[in-house]
Amino acid sequence: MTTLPGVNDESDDGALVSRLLVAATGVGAVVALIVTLLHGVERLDVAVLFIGFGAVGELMHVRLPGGRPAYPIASATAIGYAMLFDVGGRPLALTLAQVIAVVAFACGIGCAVQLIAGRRPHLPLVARRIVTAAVVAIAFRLTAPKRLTTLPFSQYKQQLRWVALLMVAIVALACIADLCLAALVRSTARHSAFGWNLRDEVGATTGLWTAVGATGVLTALATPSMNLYALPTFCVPLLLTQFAFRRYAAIRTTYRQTIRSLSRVTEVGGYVEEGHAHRVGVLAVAVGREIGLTESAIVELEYAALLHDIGQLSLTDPIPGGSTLVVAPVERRRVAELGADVIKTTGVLDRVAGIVARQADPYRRHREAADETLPVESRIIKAVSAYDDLVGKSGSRDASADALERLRLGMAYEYDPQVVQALAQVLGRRKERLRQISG
Amino acid sequence: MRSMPRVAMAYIFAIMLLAVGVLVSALTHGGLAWSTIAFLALLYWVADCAPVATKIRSLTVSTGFPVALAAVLLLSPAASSLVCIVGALTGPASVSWYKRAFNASQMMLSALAAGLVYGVVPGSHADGFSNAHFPEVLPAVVLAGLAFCVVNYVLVATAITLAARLRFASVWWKGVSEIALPGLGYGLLGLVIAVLWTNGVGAVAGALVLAPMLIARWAFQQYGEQHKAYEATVASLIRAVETKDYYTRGHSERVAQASVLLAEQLGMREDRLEMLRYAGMLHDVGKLGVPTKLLQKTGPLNDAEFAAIKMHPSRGFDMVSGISFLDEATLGIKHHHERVDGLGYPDGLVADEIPEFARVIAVADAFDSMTSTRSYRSARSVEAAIVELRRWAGTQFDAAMVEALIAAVEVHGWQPKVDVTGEPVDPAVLVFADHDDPTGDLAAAIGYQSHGLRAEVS
Repeated sequence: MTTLPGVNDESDDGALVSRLLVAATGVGAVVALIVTLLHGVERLDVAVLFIGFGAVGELMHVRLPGGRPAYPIASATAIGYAMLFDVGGRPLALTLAQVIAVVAFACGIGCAVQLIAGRRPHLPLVARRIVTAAVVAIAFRLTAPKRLTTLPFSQYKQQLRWVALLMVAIVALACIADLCLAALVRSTARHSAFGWNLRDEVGATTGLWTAVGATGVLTALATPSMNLYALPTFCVPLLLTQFAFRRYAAIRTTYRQTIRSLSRVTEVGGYVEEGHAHRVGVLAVAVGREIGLTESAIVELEYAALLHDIGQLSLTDPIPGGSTLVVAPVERRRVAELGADVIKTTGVLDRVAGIVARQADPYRRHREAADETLPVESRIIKAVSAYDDLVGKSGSRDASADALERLRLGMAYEYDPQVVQALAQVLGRRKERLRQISG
Repeated sequence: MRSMPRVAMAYIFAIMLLAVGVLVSALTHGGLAWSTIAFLALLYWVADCAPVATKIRSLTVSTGFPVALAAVLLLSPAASSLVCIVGALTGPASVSWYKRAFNASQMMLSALAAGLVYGVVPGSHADGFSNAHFPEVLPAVVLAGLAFCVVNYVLVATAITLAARLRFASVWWKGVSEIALPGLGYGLLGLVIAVLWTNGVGAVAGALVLAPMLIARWAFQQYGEQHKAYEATVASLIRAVETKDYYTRGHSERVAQASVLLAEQLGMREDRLEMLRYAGMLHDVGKLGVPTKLLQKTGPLNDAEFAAIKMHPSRGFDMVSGISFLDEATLGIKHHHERVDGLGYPDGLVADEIPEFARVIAVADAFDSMTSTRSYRSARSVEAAIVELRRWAGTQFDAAMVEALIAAVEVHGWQPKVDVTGEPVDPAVLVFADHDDPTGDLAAAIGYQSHGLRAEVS
């Protein structure tokens, strides 16, 4: 069994925007490094400690639910360093170049260690972290009062609460900028709308971003009195937060793997052709993404696609050959309803059950307008499952073209034209990729 | 409360009484920094609003600990315990008054103890935290945090032990890894609150410090919900697989239950127990791969048909091998029909070659099968099943596993599924339904058959 690609496993690294981002950040980092070396490094001990934590943080990655990787400790360290104004009661004025140089150097060490260990560093994410640090550093230097980095800390205590608010505002700004950048990279890599990519990004990462941003601000605020002990003190709670996220992400992965595995009961039982659920799952996710569903909707679509034939288990006799395309619509609708009943008993997959329940419904009935209440996920599964019934395991090019043609014929009534269109695009791209590999 | 043992009630009232004493002494001494107390109490209330559930029933982790520790650092010992009174106001409405009062009381006593420890360790400053120096103050902070955790945990674990009549050691060790270590880590945030409060950052500091903690709590809650959803989903799908087979309905869940009871008796680790439970649930999932034709055959089975039946553990293994969390438990599914004398299937493994999980599931599987009703016979009594298991120990089953299951059943009892009513039985499934019963003809036949195959190979 080939492994099913995860909803978020698809790499964005190859996209043009992403490559531009990495290249531009790389050039900027090198320039900043040279400038810093020419001018001399301010407070080398502080820089070394932050580089150390940044590099170690680069090795401690966590996958957020949904699959996005994140490096909380490295990010928090970078944000903290960008707003450092006093260490142990001695004011400190770092240049923008030094901030970028130190953050980039830490990233560089972390990436090098990853390469030695045989892991591929996630360069667009590294670039985004450096850009975030630069944004924070610039905003802080533009807005923070000059006295902050020249007067001793003890004379400044009264205004510290305003500085704290300023820092929070700056980090919020940097967070928005970073999410926009991430959405831009994704939308160009996947040919999808910027708007829903941004919404997805916000939904998936705001939680951890808040924890990371708060830790960065706290680091900068506490170093005046706690000296460099602030850094390890803050990293421990953040590490625990990271651990909580890891557990959360792990159970989500397990959930998904289990649904994928158990969806095979229909084929093991001989109710459907081998690999049917798996192929419908992969194709439905691709079509869903083509249409522009959100990540959470795609997860539900995948579950529904994998489990769409589970209702066959409740039939006394399996439908011969398993193909639900050749049987009467009444029978197909019964399988759909029985399947929805099974899924509903879980008590937690009600939306998935709803999708499965309506997978056999036609797009619209004769002389009627299209049914507004029919979920788009059901329409996708209907078309994709029919396509797989027609093509089967072989997947030969002729069979594929024939099947697509049959779906097109049934378009205006049986199948949603938009879905068939998206399916055609997905299959077209797949064919092209096959040609590239073979040729 | 009436259901609670007298000792537990006496203990709880004693703790409350002590707390009231602390409260009175704090209020009569005067000189309290009310603005700091108010700020910390508010923070404590926010942090403590929704305690996180743990794996131990009736034990939740409060996220108020860092705030309480900040109070210990910023205030006098008695004053710091005042902040913890707020704890009585938090938590879901369903929590009874005496539990709230006990929780607030034990937090007050913990804070008091931590404050006293903080005062005596060199490096701490009696005149307030603003003059504290790093790193000299750190040992005092860490020891105060430790004292808080230890007192808090001993007080709570004792209450649970007394109330639920559990062994103290089991509650204690389960909790230490899950609560005490993360608790200490988050305790560092208390230090940060104290530093920022004395630096004049004020209320913003509270929001900043609570952010990572509340988000971690959110992630833990999501984890808990997903975990429940996962359990429900696996159970439903397994039930769907079992629908065809009337007499084995609920079998998977009972095998999972019996396997866990057995493994607990062996002292298996918590995380492995969980894997084992899912392996028990999924152990017969490959059964669907046995063709319906074969299940519907009523006459004797030939070699090829035996071979088809013997496929089901491997099929199940193929299916679940994609679930990485199950790890070694997938082998438990693959080998649950092996016999210690090497006559089992699919691989004819002998004794210790059979994975531990498989040896556990094999015994649990047979036990549930024997104590359940089958179409041609009523269920055996638990005692009869035990006799039967002992008879097959050392040949079909691992003797250690058999004894562990018997011991577990003696301690916890066993509720077999006995009454099968309604729904006519399809005789077709019976041949297969009984493949787990060591006394059944089919099991004996398969054992013999595989012996024959082995002889051929060698």
